[in-house]
Amino acid sequence: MTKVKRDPRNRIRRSFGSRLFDGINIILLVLLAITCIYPFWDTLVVSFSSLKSYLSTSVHLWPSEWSFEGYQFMISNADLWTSYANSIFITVVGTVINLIVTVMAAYVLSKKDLKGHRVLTFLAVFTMMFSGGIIPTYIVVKDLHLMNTLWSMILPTAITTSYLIIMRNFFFDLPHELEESAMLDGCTEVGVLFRIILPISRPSMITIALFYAVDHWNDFFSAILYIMDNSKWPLQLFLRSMLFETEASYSSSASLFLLGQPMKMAAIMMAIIPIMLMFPFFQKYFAKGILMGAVKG
Amino acid sequence: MKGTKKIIALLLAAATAFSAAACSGGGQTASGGAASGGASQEGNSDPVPIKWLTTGDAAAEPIESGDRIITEINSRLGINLEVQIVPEGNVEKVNVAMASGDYPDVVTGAYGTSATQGWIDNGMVVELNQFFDANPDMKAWIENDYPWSGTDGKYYGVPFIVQYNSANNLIIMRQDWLDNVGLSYPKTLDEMRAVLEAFTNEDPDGNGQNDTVGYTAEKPSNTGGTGFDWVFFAYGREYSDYALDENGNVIPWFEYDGFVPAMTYIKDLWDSGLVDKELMLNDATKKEEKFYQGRVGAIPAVLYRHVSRQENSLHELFPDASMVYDLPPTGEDGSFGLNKQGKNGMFTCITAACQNQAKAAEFINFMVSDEGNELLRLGLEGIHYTKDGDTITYNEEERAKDAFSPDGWAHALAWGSFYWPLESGYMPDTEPNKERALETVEMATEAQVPNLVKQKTPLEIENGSSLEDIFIQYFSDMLQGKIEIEAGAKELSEKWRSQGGEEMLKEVQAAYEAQGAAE
Amino acid sequence: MAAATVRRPPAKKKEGVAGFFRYLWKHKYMYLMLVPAIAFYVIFCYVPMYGATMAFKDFNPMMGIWDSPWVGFEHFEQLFALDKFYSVLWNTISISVIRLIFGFPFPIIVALMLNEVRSKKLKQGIQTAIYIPNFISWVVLGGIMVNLLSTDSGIVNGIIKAFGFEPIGFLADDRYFVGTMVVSMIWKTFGYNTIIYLAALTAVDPQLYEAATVDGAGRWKQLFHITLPCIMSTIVVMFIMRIGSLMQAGFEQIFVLYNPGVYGVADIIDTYVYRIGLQEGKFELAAAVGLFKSVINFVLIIIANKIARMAGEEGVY
Repeated sequence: MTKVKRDPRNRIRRSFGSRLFDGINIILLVLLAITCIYPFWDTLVVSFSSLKSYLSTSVHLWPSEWSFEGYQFMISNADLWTSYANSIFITVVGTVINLIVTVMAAYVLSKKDLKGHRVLTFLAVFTMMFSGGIIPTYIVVKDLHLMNTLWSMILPTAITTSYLIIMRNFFFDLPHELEESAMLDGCTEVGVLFRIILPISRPSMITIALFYAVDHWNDFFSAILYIMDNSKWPLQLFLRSMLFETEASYSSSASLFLLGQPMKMAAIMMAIIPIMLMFPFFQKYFAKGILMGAVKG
Repeated sequence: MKGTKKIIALLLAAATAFSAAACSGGGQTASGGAASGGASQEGNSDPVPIKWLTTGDAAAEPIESGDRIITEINSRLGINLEVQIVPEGNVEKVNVAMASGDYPDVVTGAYGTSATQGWIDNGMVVELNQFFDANPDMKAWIENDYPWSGTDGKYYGVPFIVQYNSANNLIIMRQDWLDNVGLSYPKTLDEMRAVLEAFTNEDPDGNGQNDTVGYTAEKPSNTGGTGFDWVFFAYGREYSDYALDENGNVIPWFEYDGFVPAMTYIKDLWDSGLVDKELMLNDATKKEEKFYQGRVGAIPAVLYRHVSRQENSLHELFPDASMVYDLPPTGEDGSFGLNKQGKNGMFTCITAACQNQAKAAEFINFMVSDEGNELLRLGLEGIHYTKDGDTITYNEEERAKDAFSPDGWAHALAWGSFYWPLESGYMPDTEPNKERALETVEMATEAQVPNLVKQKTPLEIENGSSLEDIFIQYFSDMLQGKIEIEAGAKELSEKWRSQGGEEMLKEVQAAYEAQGAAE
Repeated sequence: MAAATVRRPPAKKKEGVAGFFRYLWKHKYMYLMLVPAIAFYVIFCYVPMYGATMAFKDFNPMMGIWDSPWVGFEHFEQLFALDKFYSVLWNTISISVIRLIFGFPFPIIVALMLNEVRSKKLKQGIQTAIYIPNFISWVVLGGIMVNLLSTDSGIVNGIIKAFGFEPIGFLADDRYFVGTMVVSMIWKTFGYNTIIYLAALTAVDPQLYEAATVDGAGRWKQLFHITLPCIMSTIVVMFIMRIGSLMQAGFEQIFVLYNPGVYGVADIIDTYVYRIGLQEGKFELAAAVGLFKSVINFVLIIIANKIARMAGEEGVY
């Protein structure tokens, strides 16, 4: 598929005012972006700094003395890779399940002429406000025999209601002429979903998938509650426990805790970078929205 | 579309395969090779499964299956031990599991909290007195160290109070700064003020800039204290938890005579700029960093096993710096103090759901016995260590195969529930700086101030933290000049008493009198 | 060129003569697609919901939540008897409202600004950048903020001092603390919300712009007559959901950054009850606080949704 710029705004010769507007707009956005990158950069720099270099300044733009000890320490632990595998499993399978369940439900609930859609939506929204708390949920997980399985970190969060509502709204906003013409051509409602709606909803599905994926990736508390074996720990829990400071941790060779903050930042980077690598993938599909004119009725 | 579907199908397939693998490969609970060990020894009875849920010490080495220490315990006691150490020592997991009816046989939670109190009140854990005859070590542990921990002579758990008989905090200072300003480690509050003033105003690091300050600490908190507790102790605060009025009645500690003068002293330090203005933003790490960065000359700091860590960190930026510690400064009548005696810790119980409670008691007894202690510290003779007279040689290679911490430190099972190096007075000879570490403990313990009442009463458990919170709020407001000290102290008393303090005091008074009668 | 072009024609009502089951059967595939979601909500949300009754019980795990004895409003009375409760309630609401007023429009504005950027590379770059703070937890950001905003060594106060002003205690001074919280909260989350609006913007039919351009409508006109109306329903839904979480003032952030010096303005319900014993396992207290917040949120969301529907919007439900 060749990328054709369809944006009609490009065809008009731009006035000076329009260009000034663009200039200021871009400057503001870039400044904003820089403030957003800074903490990430700071963390990254500290993770590669020696303790000395970290302590010598409060603004970290570049390591004055490099150190890879934090990363070396983490990588030398064989359990790291197991926990990576667990996290990838939870994130990939979890997100696929999230997406399937959420998209199906959101599509049905977006049908304003389907009986019961309002009541059902209300019942979903109700759970955003009211919950039974941690104990009954624990009992459910236990009774379903999900304890100490990776599924305990997937199934209890199969839907996040706010994402369901956002997804449903994206479906609302799609131009319905497409659907109607497809229906006239003899497509069923389900057929419309798969043939028409899903292809043009890629940006919104990808957005929701990203949110779900990040949530799964960052989850550690359900692992504390439900997972017993170290071999089933997700990455976040593994990294947190590596940094967990107690009496026993000081019994290891003292050098580990001499690394101090840089070591902690290295752990944080190791948790962030894999999920950030998803971004280009996300961007690729995000851009292929309806704007590409790929599906025109 | 077809492409996407294929990808999803593939992912699902991969996921299923992976999960199957993960499940079969998993199951590495710390149950050890119990079946073989137990059977070969006795053969006459099946080992009793004992499941122990504990916060333990999550940073200890992970216990792999087939751990020889667990196997040894199993064969000695005829049990099949399954230990679950909660990640991050997260006590919420223990509380939730218990509250959800997911009972282990033996459980270790946090002493002096609503959760463990609830276990007792609701009959979820059994009385231990019935097992005392068969298990003398457990009996001795409770009756010698924690006789106050029961109600009406009934004990429901084995407490392990942190910082009960020893402490490890001292105020550390920059010796090189003291030398530069021609002073020595302060012995009195007046000297302390002079030192902090010199650290702030006399350019102790000689860099020609006014960029240093005398003192900083962690932000005041319910759990961590005010950061200026040494001042209150120097002004004659006798106990860590409460105080006595002239009639011998229990009153909140801040109603003691020295409170207003002590507050005035602290406020003077604050107003004169001798204290880090951003003290309120400090956590433990930030506090230490400011010391390492040469921005502040004195901090209260954890020592003992951290002596080397503190010193080496300081040397990162200042290789020639030196660190000094000593007893905290004294007040006019010679009183001093820095550390409070602990009232919190661990609490190990046998659940009512436990099938073989006698065996569970036997297991706890083993854990607190000398025999158990030796096994968990040293391991098996001939395998984990060799003994030549009094000299013990560790075999680190063998120890690393089981869950021993390196450099002669104990097995993972030991840490936490019944055992910390400080409280258990244990430090292997391998530790660098051993002499100085022990010296700091001696000093810190000398600067530890006892509690008036050893236990936490039920209302103290219920309301203690919200009352402490009121104090912290008033303390900060007085310090920052939002409220004048005398008026603040008066208002604090009224508020504290009206918000549940009054009833709590009555209960504490009763406990105090009972304690007196018992002694 | 009315906005109504993208609105779908009013839905045709099915003739309601047919029986309920015949209706179900006719749309069986649609309802079937709901089954997994319904199963999820029943099993993981509605079945455990009985746990909320704990707020009115003297919870005894031996009996279970259901059979524990009722104590009426005892836990609530306990909570409301605390002097501090009213100040933390007020702080919660005020921080939330300030955040709503400034934080809600911000991502919409950024999304619209980004929508005007023509260079695809630049647009993607900025999009990625503004999403990054989401990945970094408040514990880490808090540490960085303390460094940046420090009165003696922080870069921000360095600039302020260079202009000859007194340094500002952004985190230690209670006149500035709430402002600092709100700005940093908005800053951390706007990238996330921006992406939602950008995704909504991708559904705008480009033909509309073409037609508008032909009609001679300028960029501002297009913005107000095409872009905004097209994402209005998303805006409304996001707004209602924000209203429905008004009692959530951002526990993690405040917990990391507050201190006794600013408790007067910074202490919110969540941080307060955490300090006074939530971490010690006071389950009934947690349930009571949770229920109290839920009821307020619930009332707010009902009102907000009603108003939205009266204004002709679809609302959340």
